[in-house]
Amino acid sequence: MKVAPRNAATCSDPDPRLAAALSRLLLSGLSLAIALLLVGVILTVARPGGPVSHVSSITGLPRALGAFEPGGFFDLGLLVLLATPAARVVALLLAFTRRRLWLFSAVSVMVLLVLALSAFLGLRGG
Amino acid sequence: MTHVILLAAVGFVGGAFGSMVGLGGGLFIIPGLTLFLGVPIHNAIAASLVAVVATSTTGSIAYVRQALANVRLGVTMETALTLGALSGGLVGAMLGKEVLSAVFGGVMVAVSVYMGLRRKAAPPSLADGAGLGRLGATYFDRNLDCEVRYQVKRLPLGLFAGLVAGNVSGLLGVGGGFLTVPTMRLGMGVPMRAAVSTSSLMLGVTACAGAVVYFARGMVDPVVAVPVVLGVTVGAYLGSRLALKVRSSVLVSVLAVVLFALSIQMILAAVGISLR
Repeated sequence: MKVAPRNAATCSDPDPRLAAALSRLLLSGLSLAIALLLVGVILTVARPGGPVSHVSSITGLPRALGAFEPGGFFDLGLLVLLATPAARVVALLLAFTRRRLWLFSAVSVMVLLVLALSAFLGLRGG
Repeated sequence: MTHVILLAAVGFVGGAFGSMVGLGGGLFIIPGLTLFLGVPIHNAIAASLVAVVATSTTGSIAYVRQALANVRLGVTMETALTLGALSGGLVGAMLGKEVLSAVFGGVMVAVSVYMGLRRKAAPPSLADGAGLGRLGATYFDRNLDCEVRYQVKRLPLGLFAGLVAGNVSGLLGVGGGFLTVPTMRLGMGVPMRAAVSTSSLMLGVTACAGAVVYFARGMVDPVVAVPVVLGVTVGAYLGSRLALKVRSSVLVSVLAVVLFALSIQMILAAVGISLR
Protein backbone atom coordinates (compact mmCIF):
# COMPACT_ATOMS: atom_id res chain seq x y z
CA MET A 1 0.00 0.00 0.00
CA LYS A 2 1.35 3.39 -0.97
CA VAL A 3 0.53 6.63 0.73
CA ALA A 4 1.25 9.96 -0.83
CA PRO A 5 4.24 11.78 0.70
CA ARG A 6 2.00 14.53 2.03
CA ASN A 7 0.42 12.02 4.34
CA ALA A 8 3.73 11.21 5.97
CA ALA A 9 3.68 14.66 7.49
CA THR A 10 0.57 13.71 9.44
CA CYS A 11 2.23 10.77 11.11
CA SER A 12 1.72 9.76 14.71
CA ASP A 13 5.16 11.11 15.48
CA PRO A 14 5.78 14.75 14.61
CA ASP A 15 9.01 13.91 12.80
CA PRO A 16 8.47 12.06 9.50
CA ARG A 17 12.23 11.63 9.21
CA LEU A 18 12.14 9.48 12.34
CA ALA A 19 9.46 7.25 10.78
CA ALA A 20 11.56 6.89 7.64
CA ALA A 21 14.70 6.15 9.64
CA LEU A 22 12.93 3.52 11.77
CA SER A 23 11.53 1.88 8.64
CA ARG A 24 14.99 1.76 7.05
CA LEU A 25 16.47 0.31 10.23
CA LEU A 26 13.88 -2.50 10.31
CA LEU A 27 14.40 -3.22 6.61
CA SER A 28 18.18 -3.33 7.02
CA GLY A 29 18.02 -5.68 10.00
CA LEU A 30 15.56 -8.02 8.33
CA SER A 31 17.51 -8.05 5.05
CA LEU A 32 20.81 -8.81 6.79
CA ALA A 33 19.23 -11.60 8.86
CA ILE A 34 17.59 -13.23 5.83
CA ALA A 35 20.86 -12.95 3.85
CA LEU A 36 22.80 -14.72 6.63
CA LEU A 37 20.16 -17.47 6.88
CA LEU A 38 20.26 -17.99 3.11
CA VAL A 39 24.07 -18.29 3.19
CA GLY A 40 23.60 -20.98 5.83
CA VAL A 41 21.06 -22.75 3.62
CA ILE A 42 23.44 -22.64 0.62
CA LEU A 43 26.31 -24.02 2.73
CA THR A 44 24.05 -26.81 4.04
CA VAL A 45 23.04 -27.80 0.50
CA ALA A 46 26.65 -27.57 -0.72
CA ARG A 47 27.99 -29.70 2.13
CA PRO A 48 25.25 -32.21 2.98
CA GLY A 49 25.61 -34.98 5.48
CA GLY A 50 26.51 -33.40 8.79
CA PRO A 51 23.79 -32.38 11.24
CA VAL A 52 23.16 -28.65 11.54
CA SER A 53 23.36 -27.62 15.15
CA HIS A 54 23.70 -24.64 17.44
CA VAL A 55 27.07 -23.03 17.91
CA SER A 56 27.77 -23.75 21.56
CA SER A 57 28.39 -20.14 22.59
CA ILE A 58 28.64 -16.58 21.30
CA THR A 59 32.42 -16.79 21.53
CA GLY A 60 32.31 -19.81 19.22
CA LEU A 61 30.55 -17.83 16.48
CA PRO A 62 33.65 -16.27 14.84
CA ARG A 63 35.29 -19.69 14.56
CA ALA A 64 32.14 -21.24 13.08
CA LEU A 65 31.77 -18.37 10.60
CA GLY A 66 35.46 -18.59 9.66
CA ALA A 67 35.08 -22.32 9.03
CA PHE A 68 31.93 -21.66 6.93
CA GLU A 69 29.84 -23.88 9.18
CA PRO A 70 26.11 -23.50 8.36
CA GLY A 71 25.24 -23.45 12.07
CA GLY A 72 27.33 -20.31 12.54
CA PHE A 73 25.44 -18.43 9.82
CA PHE A 74 22.08 -19.70 11.10
CA ASP A 75 22.82 -18.56 14.65
CA LEU A 76 24.16 -15.18 13.54
CA GLY A 77 21.15 -14.66 11.25
CA LEU A 78 18.73 -15.49 14.05
CA LEU A 79 20.63 -13.22 16.45
CA VAL A 80 20.51 -10.32 13.97
CA LEU A 81 16.77 -10.93 13.54
CA LEU A 82 16.20 -10.88 17.31
CA ALA A 83 18.39 -7.78 17.68
CA THR A 84 16.42 -5.79 15.10
CA PRO A 85 13.42 -4.88 17.32
CA ALA A 86 15.85 -4.02 20.14
CA ALA A 87 17.78 -1.77 17.74
CA ARG A 88 14.50 -0.05 16.91
CA VAL A 89 13.96 0.71 20.61
CA VAL A 90 17.53 2.08 20.85
CA ALA A 91 16.83 4.33 17.87
CA LEU A 92 13.64 5.56 19.54
CA LEU A 93 15.55 6.21 22.77
CA LEU A 94 18.07 8.38 20.89
CA ALA A 95 15.30 10.25 19.08
CA PHE A 96 13.29 10.88 22.25
CA THR A 97 16.41 12.01 24.13
CA ARG A 98 17.43 14.39 21.36
CA ARG A 99 13.99 16.00 21.58
CA ARG A 100 14.13 16.04 25.40
CA LEU A 101 11.08 13.79 25.71
CA TRP A 102 12.36 12.41 28.99
CA LEU A 103 9.30 10.35 29.87
CA PHE A 104 9.48 8.37 26.62
CA SER A 105 13.27 8.13 26.93
CA ALA A 106 12.80 6.52 30.35
CA VAL A 107 10.15 4.17 28.96
CA SER A 108 12.53 3.10 26.17
CA VAL A 109 15.28 2.44 28.70
CA MET A 110 12.87 0.26 30.69
CA VAL A 111 12.07 -1.86 27.62
CA LEU A 112 15.78 -2.29 26.86
CA LEU A 113 16.48 -3.27 30.47
CA VAL A 114 13.81 -5.98 30.36
CA LEU A 115 15.27 -7.32 27.09
CA ALA A 116 18.74 -7.37 28.68
CA LEU A 117 17.29 -9.14 31.73
CA SER A 118 15.70 -11.74 29.42
CA ALA A 119 19.08 -12.47 27.84
CA PHE A 120 20.78 -12.63 31.24
CA LEU A 121 18.21 -14.99 32.78
CA GLY A 122 18.17 -17.13 29.65
CA LEU A 123 21.95 -17.51 29.71
CA ARG A 124 22.01 -18.17 33.45
CA GLY A 125 19.39 -20.89 33.14
CA GLY A 126 21.06 -22.50 30.11
CA MET B 1 14.31 -32.06 2.15
CA THR B 2 10.54 -32.59 2.03
CA HIS B 3 10.40 -31.93 5.78
CA VAL B 4 12.23 -28.61 5.32
CA ILE B 5 9.81 -27.54 2.58
CA LEU B 6 6.85 -28.44 4.80
CA LEU B 7 8.35 -26.39 7.65
CA ALA B 8 8.71 -23.42 5.32
CA ALA B 9 5.14 -23.97 4.09
CA VAL B 10 3.82 -23.86 7.67
CA GLY B 11 5.74 -20.60 8.18
CA PHE B 12 4.40 -19.22 4.91
CA VAL B 13 0.78 -19.95 5.87
CA GLY B 14 1.32 -18.53 9.37
CA GLY B 15 2.96 -15.37 8.03
CA ALA B 16 0.35 -14.82 5.32
CA PHE B 17 -2.72 -15.40 7.51
CA GLY B 18 -1.16 -13.64 10.50
CA SER B 19 -0.27 -10.50 8.60
CA MET B 20 -3.73 -10.39 7.00
CA VAL B 21 -5.53 -10.21 10.34
CA GLY B 22 -2.92 -8.40 12.44
CA LEU B 23 -1.55 -11.40 14.35
CA GLY B 24 2.01 -12.68 14.64
CA GLY B 25 1.25 -16.04 13.05
CA GLY B 26 2.07 -18.23 16.06
CA LEU B 27 -1.54 -19.39 16.34
CA PHE B 28 -1.08 -21.17 12.99
CA ILE B 29 2.61 -22.09 13.22
CA ILE B 30 2.54 -23.97 16.53
CA PRO B 31 -0.37 -26.33 15.70
CA GLY B 32 1.11 -26.81 12.21
CA LEU B 33 4.49 -27.81 13.60
CA THR B 34 3.27 -29.97 16.48
CA LEU B 35 0.18 -31.63 15.00
CA PHE B 36 1.28 -32.18 11.41
CA LEU B 37 5.09 -32.29 11.49
CA GLY B 38 5.71 -33.85 14.90
CA VAL B 39 7.94 -31.05 16.21
CA PRO B 40 8.22 -31.10 20.04
CA ILE B 41 6.14 -28.27 21.46
CA HIS B 42 9.05 -26.50 23.18
CA ASN B 43 10.96 -26.35 19.88
CA ALA B 44 7.76 -25.26 18.11
CA ILE B 45 7.23 -22.42 20.60
CA ALA B 46 10.86 -21.29 20.27
CA ALA B 47 10.67 -21.34 16.45
CA SER B 48 7.32 -19.56 16.55
CA LEU B 49 8.66 -16.74 18.74
CA VAL B 50 11.51 -16.12 16.28
CA ALA B 51 9.00 -16.27 13.42
CA VAL B 52 6.77 -13.70 15.15
CA VAL B 53 9.76 -11.32 15.25
CA ALA B 54 10.13 -11.83 11.48
CA THR B 55 6.40 -11.27 10.85
CA SER B 56 6.38 -8.15 13.00
CA THR B 57 9.49 -6.69 11.38
CA THR B 58 8.23 -7.41 7.85
CA GLY B 59 4.87 -5.75 8.49
CA SER B 60 6.26 -2.86 10.54
CA ILE B 61 8.56 -1.67 7.76
CA ALA B 62 5.52 -0.42 5.86
CA TYR B 63 3.38 0.46 8.89
CA VAL B 64 6.07 2.74 10.36
CA ARG B 65 6.93 4.33 7.02
CA GLN B 66 3.25 5.07 6.34
CA ALA B 67 2.92 6.50 9.84
CA LEU B 68 0.12 4.14 10.80
CA ALA B 69 1.92 2.72 13.86
CA ASN B 70 1.84 4.92 16.96
CA VAL B 71 5.44 4.57 18.17
CA ARG B 72 4.90 6.41 21.46
CA LEU B 73 1.96 4.25 22.45
CA GLY B 74 3.85 1.20 21.20
CA VAL B 75 6.96 1.74 23.27
CA THR B 76 4.84 2.57 26.34
CA MET B 77 2.88 -0.67 26.10
CA GLU B 78 6.08 -2.60 25.37
CA THR B 79 7.16 -2.08 28.99
CA ALA B 80 4.28 -4.28 30.14
CA LEU B 81 4.48 -6.65 27.18
CA THR B 82 8.19 -7.41 27.64
CA LEU B 83 7.81 -7.93 31.39
CA GLY B 84 4.97 -10.36 30.71
CA ALA B 85 6.93 -12.12 27.97
CA LEU B 86 9.96 -12.52 30.18
CA SER B 87 7.97 -14.20 32.95
CA GLY B 88 6.03 -16.29 30.42
CA GLY B 89 9.22 -17.44 28.71
CA LEU B 90 10.77 -18.54 31.99
CA VAL B 91 7.64 -20.45 33.05
CA GLY B 92 7.07 -21.91 29.57
CA ALA B 93 10.55 -23.39 29.40
CA MET B 94 9.80 -25.31 32.61
CA LEU B 95 6.26 -26.60 31.91
CA GLY B 96 5.47 -30.07 30.58
CA LYS B 97 4.37 -30.52 26.97
CA GLU B 98 0.88 -31.77 27.88
CA VAL B 99 0.19 -28.72 30.04
CA LEU B 100 1.47 -26.36 27.34
CA SER B 101 -0.63 -28.05 24.63
CA ALA B 102 -3.76 -27.87 26.77
CA VAL B 103 -3.22 -24.19 27.69
CA PHE B 104 -2.50 -23.36 24.06
CA GLY B 105 -5.65 -25.14 22.93
CA GLY B 106 -7.71 -23.26 25.49
CA VAL B 107 -6.31 -19.89 24.38
CA MET B 108 -7.02 -20.80 20.75
CA VAL B 109 -10.66 -21.60 21.55
CA ALA B 110 -11.03 -18.15 23.10
CA VAL B 111 -9.37 -16.45 20.13
CA SER B 112 -11.44 -18.31 17.54
CA VAL B 113 -14.67 -17.43 19.38
CA TYR B 114 -13.56 -13.79 19.56
CA MET B 115 -12.74 -13.74 15.85
CA GLY B 116 -16.05 -15.33 15.00
CA LEU B 117 -18.04 -12.81 17.02
CA ARG B 118 -16.21 -9.57 16.33
CA ARG B 119 -17.85 -6.96 14.17
CA LYS B 120 -16.42 -4.11 12.15
CA ALA B 121 -16.85 -0.79 13.90
CA ALA B 122 -16.43 2.74 12.67
CA PRO B 123 -13.32 4.53 13.92
CA PRO B 124 -13.89 6.90 16.81
CA SER B 125 -14.13 10.49 15.74
CA LEU B 126 -12.36 13.37 17.41
CA ALA B 127 -13.30 16.99 16.97
CA ASP B 128 -10.77 19.13 15.10
CA GLY B 129 -10.07 21.35 18.06
CA ALA B 130 -9.61 18.56 20.58
CA GLY B 131 -6.09 17.87 21.85
CA LEU B 132 -4.43 14.54 21.13
CA GLY B 133 -2.86 14.20 24.56
CA ARG B 134 0.55 12.69 25.19
CA LEU B 135 -0.12 9.44 23.30
CA GLY B 136 -2.72 10.46 20.73
CA ALA B 137 -1.90 10.64 17.04
CA THR B 138 -3.13 11.34 13.55
CA TYR B 139 -2.79 9.38 10.33
CA PHE B 140 -4.23 9.43 6.86
CA ASP B 141 -6.63 6.54 6.16
CA ARG B 142 -6.56 5.81 2.44
CA ASN B 143 -9.73 3.70 2.52
CA LEU B 144 -11.69 6.46 4.28
CA ASP B 145 -9.82 9.15 2.31
CA CYS B 146 -9.49 11.34 5.36
CA GLU B 147 -7.20 12.14 8.22
CA VAL B 148 -8.06 10.24 11.40
CA ARG B 149 -7.28 11.84 14.76
CA TYR B 150 -7.56 9.98 18.02
CA GLN B 151 -6.77 10.19 21.71
CA VAL B 152 -5.55 7.22 23.71
CA LYS B 153 -7.75 6.43 26.71
CA ARG B 154 -7.42 4.07 29.67
CA LEU B 155 -3.67 3.49 29.45
CA PRO B 156 -3.67 1.39 32.67
CA LEU B 157 -6.09 -1.02 30.97
CA GLY B 158 -3.71 -1.25 28.01
CA LEU B 159 -0.73 -1.89 30.27
CA PHE B 160 -2.63 -4.64 32.09
CA ALA B 161 -3.67 -6.24 28.81
CA GLY B 162 -0.06 -5.90 27.64
CA LEU B 163 1.18 -7.73 30.70
CA VAL B 164 -1.26 -10.59 30.11
CA ALA B 165 -0.59 -10.69 26.34
CA GLY B 166 3.16 -10.67 26.92
CA ASN B 167 2.85 -13.50 29.42
CA VAL B 168 0.81 -15.60 26.98
CA SER B 169 3.32 -14.74 24.25
CA GLY B 170 6.35 -15.91 26.22
CA LEU B 171 4.50 -18.94 27.53
CA LEU B 172 2.99 -20.16 24.26
CA GLY B 173 5.13 -18.62 21.53
CA VAL B 174 2.38 -16.50 19.99
CA GLY B 175 2.54 -12.76 19.32
CA GLY B 176 -0.22 -11.61 21.65
CA GLY B 177 -1.90 -9.46 18.97
CA PHE B 178 -5.20 -11.27 19.54
CA LEU B 179 -5.37 -9.50 22.91
CA THR B 180 -3.61 -6.16 22.27
CA VAL B 181 -5.55 -5.30 19.09
CA PRO B 182 -9.05 -5.63 20.63
CA THR B 183 -7.92 -3.91 23.83
CA MET B 184 -6.56 -0.93 21.93
CA ARG B 185 -9.57 -0.82 19.63
CA LEU B 186 -12.38 -1.42 22.10
CA GLY B 187 -10.87 -0.26 25.40
CA MET B 188 -8.45 2.52 24.51
CA GLY B 189 -10.16 4.32 21.64
CA VAL B 190 -7.49 3.55 19.05
CA PRO B 191 -8.86 3.14 15.48
CA MET B 192 -8.61 -0.39 14.06
CA ARG B 193 -5.98 0.43 11.47
CA ALA B 194 -3.70 2.12 14.00
CA ALA B 195 -4.32 -0.68 16.52
CA VAL B 196 -3.28 -3.40 14.05
CA SER B 197 -0.21 -1.42 12.95
CA THR B 198 0.90 -0.53 16.47
CA SER B 199 0.30 -4.11 17.62
CA SER B 200 2.40 -5.41 14.75
CA LEU B 201 5.22 -3.11 15.79
CA MET B 202 5.00 -4.19 19.44
CA LEU B 203 4.89 -7.93 18.70
CA GLY B 204 8.52 -7.91 17.56
CA VAL B 205 9.87 -6.64 20.87
CA THR B 206 7.44 -8.81 22.85
CA ALA B 207 8.39 -12.00 21.02
CA CYS B 208 12.06 -11.00 21.20
CA ALA B 209 11.92 -10.93 25.02
CA GLY B 210 10.60 -14.50 25.09
CA ALA B 211 12.71 -15.76 22.19
CA VAL B 212 15.95 -14.59 23.80
CA VAL B 213 15.26 -16.87 26.78
CA TYR B 214 14.73 -19.89 24.49
CA PHE B 215 17.70 -18.95 22.27
CA ALA B 216 20.10 -18.57 25.19
CA ARG B 217 18.99 -21.98 26.48
CA GLY B 218 19.74 -23.61 23.11
CA MET B 219 16.07 -24.44 22.46
CA VAL B 220 15.88 -22.65 19.08
CA ASP B 221 16.61 -25.55 16.73
CA PRO B 222 17.93 -24.02 13.47
CA VAL B 223 16.68 -27.04 11.49
CA VAL B 224 13.13 -26.06 12.49
CA ALA B 225 13.43 -22.29 12.99
CA VAL B 226 15.28 -21.31 9.80
CA PRO B 227 12.80 -22.77 7.26
CA VAL B 228 9.89 -21.38 9.32
CA VAL B 229 11.45 -17.89 9.47
CA LEU B 230 12.16 -17.86 5.73
CA GLY B 231 8.62 -19.06 4.99
CA VAL B 232 6.99 -16.62 7.39
CA THR B 233 8.88 -13.65 5.95
CA VAL B 234 7.69 -14.38 2.41
CA GLY B 235 4.16 -15.14 3.69
CA ALA B 236 3.95 -11.92 5.72
CA TYR B 237 5.17 -9.86 2.77
CA LEU B 238 2.60 -11.35 0.39
CA GLY B 239 -0.16 -11.50 3.02
CA SER B 240 0.07 -7.80 3.79
CA ARG B 241 -0.55 -7.08 0.09
CA LEU B 242 -3.22 -9.76 -0.38
CA ALA B 243 -5.16 -8.40 2.59
CA LEU B 244 -6.14 -5.39 0.52
CA LYS B 245 -7.91 -7.61 -2.02
CA VAL B 246 -9.78 -9.98 0.30
CA ARG B 247 -12.92 -9.04 2.21
CA SER B 248 -11.82 -9.00 5.82
CA SER B 249 -15.15 -10.31 7.16
CA VAL B 250 -14.89 -13.46 5.00
CA LEU B 251 -11.25 -13.93 5.94
CA VAL B 252 -11.91 -13.60 9.65
CA SER B 253 -14.81 -16.07 9.52
CA VAL B 254 -12.72 -18.70 7.71
CA LEU B 255 -9.82 -18.20 10.10
CA ALA B 256 -12.11 -18.52 13.13
CA VAL B 257 -13.36 -21.92 11.93
CA VAL B 258 -9.82 -23.15 11.14
CA LEU B 259 -8.49 -21.97 14.49
CA PHE B 260 -11.39 -23.57 16.37
CA ALA B 261 -10.76 -26.93 14.65
CA LEU B 262 -7.03 -26.73 15.37
CA SER B 263 -7.65 -25.78 19.00
CA ILE B 264 -9.86 -28.82 19.58
CA GLN B 265 -7.18 -31.02 18.03
CA MET B 266 -4.52 -29.45 20.27
CA ILE B 267 -6.59 -30.11 23.40
CA LEU B 268 -7.28 -33.70 22.35
CA ALA B 269 -3.57 -34.21 21.62
CA ALA B 270 -2.75 -32.92 25.11
CA VAL B 271 -4.82 -35.75 26.62
CA GLY B 272 -3.35 -38.33 24.26
CA ILE B 273 -6.12 -38.54 21.63
CA SER B 274 -4.96 -38.16 18.04
CA LEU B 275 -7.42 -37.64 15.20
CA ARG B 276 -4.82 -38.29 12.51
